[in-house]
Amino acid sequence: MSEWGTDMQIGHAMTLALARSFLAALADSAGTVQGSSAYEQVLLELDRIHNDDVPAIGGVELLSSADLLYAGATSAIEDLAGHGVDELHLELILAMLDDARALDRC
Amino acid sequence: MYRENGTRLRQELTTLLKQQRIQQRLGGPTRHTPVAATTPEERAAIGLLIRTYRQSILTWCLQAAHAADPYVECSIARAVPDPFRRADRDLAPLPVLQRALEQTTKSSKVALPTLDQLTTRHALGLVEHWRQAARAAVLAEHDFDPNWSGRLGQGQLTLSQAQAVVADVASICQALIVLDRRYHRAIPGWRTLPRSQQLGWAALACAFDANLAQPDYAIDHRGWRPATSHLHGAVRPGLLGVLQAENNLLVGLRTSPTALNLRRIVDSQRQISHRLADLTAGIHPTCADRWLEREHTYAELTHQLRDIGGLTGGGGAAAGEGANAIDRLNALPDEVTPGGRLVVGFTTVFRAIDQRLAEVLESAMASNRVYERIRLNRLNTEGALVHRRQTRYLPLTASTRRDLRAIIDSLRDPAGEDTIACPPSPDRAQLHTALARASSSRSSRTNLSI
Repeated sequence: MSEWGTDMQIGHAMTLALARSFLAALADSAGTVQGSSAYEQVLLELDRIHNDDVPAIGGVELLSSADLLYAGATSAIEDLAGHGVDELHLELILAMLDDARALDRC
Repeated sequence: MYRENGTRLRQELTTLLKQQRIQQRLGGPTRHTPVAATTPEERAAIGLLIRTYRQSILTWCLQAAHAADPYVECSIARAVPDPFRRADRDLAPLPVLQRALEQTTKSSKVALPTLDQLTTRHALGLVEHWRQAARAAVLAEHDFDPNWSGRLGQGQLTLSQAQAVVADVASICQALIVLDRRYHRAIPGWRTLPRSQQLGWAALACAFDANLAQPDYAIDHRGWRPATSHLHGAVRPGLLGVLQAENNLLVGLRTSPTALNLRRIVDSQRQISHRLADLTAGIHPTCADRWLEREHTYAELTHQLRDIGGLTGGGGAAAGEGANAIDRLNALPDEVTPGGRLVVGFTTVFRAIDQRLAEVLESAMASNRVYERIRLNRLNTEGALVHRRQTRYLPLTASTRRDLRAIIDSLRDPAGEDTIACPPSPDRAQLHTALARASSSRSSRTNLSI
């Protein structure tokens, strides 16, 4: 499926695109620059563990509430474990996401 | 920088213009000292050395005149209604000066000074001044080096800055002609500048023409400067540590970053601009506004780069320094305020980082080193049993290029940037005064027509 990276199944790609879209929406809707930047760091980390071989953001209907966006992002990231992504990496990303949310709320 | 070498050149020529009694200075016989300290052959050899030095000054003048050429039109030429046609070049004195300089330089039949001649101190004060002037001219050639990306000329000068260069070239040419006439009578075997009369009139016309417009002496702050070096050693306390990390980030940007590292660097600049704007809002509101504007530019760039990838490049060290800068800045208490020198330091390093990132983005777009991710289609609409691989990457589309181009323009020319009015440096006025005095003296008046 990918032209120069490792092959990725459609389910994996769709889940990853969903996770990226939720994170980008969280970064865009954050109340502070620090919060937005923290969400951006989560997105960067997610891209890094996929060696920047990731699908584009969008293509899904995003929800407007920050809580729902957060729940969606958490769920999508957890789902990536079912597609062969290292679970420890995912736990670290989820921890970064929690920190980003706490930073955005304070 | 243009200022350092240009000032040195003008100061040395000003000193030389003030020096009369050339024969006496070269150890020749005078009314009071009839016994000469040097032979005519020795004075002729000194004259040859001076002409060698003069040749390098003429070469600099020629290069500077060519660098200014694409921009400078005659100040009194009428505007051409057709924007695709240049103004009437027949009226412009700069091409005449270029031709005169080319002919004079070519006909001089003197070699350029060797490295030994440029670097070895001369016992005679007069020759030493010529050596220093030639040295400044050789160093100033760096500013027009075609192999250097920030060279003056080739789209890097404004019209007013080019006018300032032309005015400088004209005054230096006039000084060389006055000195040439003076030395002709005093040094045995001296050969005058070929076609000096033509050169003198052309220089005078260029000087008048340049001063009809308003030359921009901000040119003094441009030109070649040494490359930024890494600040090693312990972390500096307070905001200096942030400045240290920013400087090291700039050094790390010599290598083009990968798309991922570029996103990290961009995000770090966004955060740093925001936090520094907060810290300076109370004492430098103008500066705080400018840095908030910078934060918005980087926020837009962050948004644009999310769907842009690219695996070539490095930039890991620069991204790491960006993270260091954020950590050091966040560790500072809220009541810290940067002093005047630190504000200037941050402004300078931000400008350099912005320029470099604009270059990186332009180069990545031009060489197709980055690609654009495209959205996935969930459903296969082809109706075939065997599915083809979906294309997930494409070269940057026209709309993405347009958006990136707008951001690059904001990085290169920030909206809140102050335009610093630069007055002419005093050495220009001193050279003009020395020229006026030399031209009005009895000896020069009889021989010089300019």
